[in-house]
Amino acid sequence: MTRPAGSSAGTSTADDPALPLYVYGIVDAGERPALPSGGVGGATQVHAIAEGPLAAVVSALPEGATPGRREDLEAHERVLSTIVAHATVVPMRFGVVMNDAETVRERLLRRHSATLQELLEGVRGRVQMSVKAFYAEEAVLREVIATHPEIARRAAEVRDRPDADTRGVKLWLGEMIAAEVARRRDADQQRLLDRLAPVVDDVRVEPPANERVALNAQVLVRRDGREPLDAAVRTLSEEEAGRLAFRYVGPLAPYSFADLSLAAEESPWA
Amino acid sequence: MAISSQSNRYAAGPSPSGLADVLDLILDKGLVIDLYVRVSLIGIEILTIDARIVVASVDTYLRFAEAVGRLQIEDDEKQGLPELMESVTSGGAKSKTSGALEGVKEQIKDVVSSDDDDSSDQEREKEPSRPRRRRRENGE
Repeated sequence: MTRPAGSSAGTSTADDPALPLYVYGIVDAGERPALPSGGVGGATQVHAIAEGPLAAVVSALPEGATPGRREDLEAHERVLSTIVAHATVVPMRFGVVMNDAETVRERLLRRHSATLQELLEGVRGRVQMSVKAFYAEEAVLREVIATHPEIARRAAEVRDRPDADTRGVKLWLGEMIAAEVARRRDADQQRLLDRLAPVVDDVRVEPPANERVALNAQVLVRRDGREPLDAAVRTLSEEEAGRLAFRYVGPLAPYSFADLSLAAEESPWA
Repeated sequence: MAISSQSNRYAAGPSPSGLADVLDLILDKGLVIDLYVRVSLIGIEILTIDARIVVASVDTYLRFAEAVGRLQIEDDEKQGLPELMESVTSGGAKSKTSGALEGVKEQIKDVVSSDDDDSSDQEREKEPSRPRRRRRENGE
């Protein structure tokens, strides 16, 4: 399934040079990360293109391929997960395609060399872990009821009455409830982050994707020093059982810590 | 709807990533080169937009109101207060509830447009004048 990038780095002759290249991420040119064989768009070979101290992990994009299918997203993630299991990588966002190997060398690796090396240093030896907590909705709504019994009684009163009659009241009640849930979310986030902060190197807190999300924290941690984080999440999940359900995922490439847009054309100083 | 506590199930450590876990990351985070992302590909913008969900919505508010109403009725049943349950679900006369809800009405009527018949606020006036019915088509 995997093979070493080996000597193909810098001498990527395997591809039809006419095909554009899908770009997965940036690694040190000295790294020889294991790469899976399957890539985005049905590519059969993933390889590295080196330039100076940096290398880009790419695969040829077959003619007519328009990445965007589920398999393409999975291939992107699989390539980067395979790399980050053993090596430092700065992941690209899904969907970066460049014209050919020379364009990758010139416009990505040479032009942005300083920025890319800086990004690599920032995540060296580290992986991203995703820590999400979801409310057990009934539990948190019961807390809202306990705090505001009058809201609950009012909601019970209008519950089974036609929307035409009660929509305004229901919306008002729902907004009050949502505001109370949001207050709890703010407090919960702070409390959980206080527990995670001592065992991670960096953290990005994302806004909740829906009202059940209590916390979406993306954290950066040493690949070989993750045990304190594992233990902290395990302890939290035990303490919060019945109220919060945790989803702890990784190791991932450090997407949230390479969230940067490089200018494609200008930047004469780079 | 509620997530059971049994889903805290990774005593052995984190889960490997599934696509659903990382979709927002690979579409929204990571390094980008301005020009190239958008030139060559079709469909990415749509995927990106679909990956985002609005938190505060009318649907959410209505759902919360319904869920809390259900919980409150359950609680009242447990506490041996069948009157409220009966009055809400039986299609009975409004007078059955008015006593129990009087205090609540007092507390909230300054803030919300009440749907009580004795209220003549703006929201009521916008709706057709007709007898208040308590229909039961929602399946009690």
